[in-house]
Amino acid sequence: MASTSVISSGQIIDGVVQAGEDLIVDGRVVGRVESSHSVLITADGIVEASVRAREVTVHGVIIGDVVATDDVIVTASGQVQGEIRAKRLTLEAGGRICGMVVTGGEPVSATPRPRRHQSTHARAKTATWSPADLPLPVEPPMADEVERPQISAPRRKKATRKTSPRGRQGRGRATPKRSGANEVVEVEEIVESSSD
Amino acid sequence: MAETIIGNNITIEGDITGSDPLTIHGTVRGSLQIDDLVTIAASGHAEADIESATIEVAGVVEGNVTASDKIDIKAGGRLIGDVRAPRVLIADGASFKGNINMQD
Amino acid sequence: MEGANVIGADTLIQGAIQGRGSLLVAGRVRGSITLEGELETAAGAEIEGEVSVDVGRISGRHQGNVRATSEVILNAGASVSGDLEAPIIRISPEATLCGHIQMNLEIPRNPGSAGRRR
Repeated sequence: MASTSVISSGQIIDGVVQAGEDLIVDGRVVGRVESSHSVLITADGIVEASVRAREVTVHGVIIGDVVATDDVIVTASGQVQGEIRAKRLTLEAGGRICGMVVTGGEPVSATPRPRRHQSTHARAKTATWSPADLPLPVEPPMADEVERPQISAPRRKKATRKTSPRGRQGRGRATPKRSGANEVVEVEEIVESSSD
Repeated sequence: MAETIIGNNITIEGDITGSDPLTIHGTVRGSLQIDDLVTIAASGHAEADIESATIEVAGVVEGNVTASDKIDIKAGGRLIGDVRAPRVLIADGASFKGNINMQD
Repeated sequence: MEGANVIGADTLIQGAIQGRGSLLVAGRVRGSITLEGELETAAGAEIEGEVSVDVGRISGRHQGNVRATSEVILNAGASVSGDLEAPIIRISPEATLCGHIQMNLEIPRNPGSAGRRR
């Protein structure tokens, strides 16, 4: 199993959390959460922003859109306020969702009719969507979005080494550095809150 | 074999078609077009034209009834409308008001 | 023989169905279903219209909103294009849904209070 990053209970992270591995959110994140693997929001976890991953399991709260190439699981204590797009959605009794849900990737029709071609603006119930349409969960941030500090979740097993974030995924794009230092920040050490 | 049963607490406003034998204990307003058998049970009420091979009426039918095989109005049954079938049975105790055409 | 309401697999109903009791739909309905009771739609069922029930156990294909006073369950193979609204909703991973789910959420306002949710 891939190594796991944890945003522990009590921490507040304001920014973008990107992980190239499994991610557990046990605290509060205001900002985007992305993983190319799985994201698990514990019962105490609250994410106020979009969550993108291969798989998302929600025991806590997500206020924001959820996009998964595979499964979204909202357990009995989970709550999602926002849009959910996934290949598969599991909602357990007790779990709550308030928002648009699109799963499966196929338009539904009781009477056979010609398939509509995919339209990116279609929010109608017959919108076609397939997992192939999703961008990869781990994406470089758009230039105009990088006002917020960006935190890359490092692999826990490897020693922390001084490396610029751009070397990590070969994105070839300049990203802002915190405190002017060229370093990767361990997620667990961050206790940072920003007032809105 | 599959069948369709409309219980006595159900009302349908519309048209029912298909090949499953149909039994009505409730209420239907509209039309019935069923391949083989339509049964209006004792508590059933059909304000509808009915077409089938065999039509049995133990309840109330208000509408025209066409059967390719036979129409059977049971004792206690009541039919108001025209009947068209090669065979027509009207039991003692049945009630009928309308025209009967037994010829093709 | 009351209470057992069945729409057979080879039956099509075009119009509104309403009443009390349990209803099993194995065939096709084009029109609304309003039921004080439990609706079950079988794997091959096709429903085009609004569904308003106490309990909805869906295994078929629905186009139209499904509202339940108690519970909506989307079983494996179910396919719904429409909104779901019920106090309790269960969705199998093998179900397909395209629509809005409307439920009341209880979102904690303070990060520290998250653990105190029920």
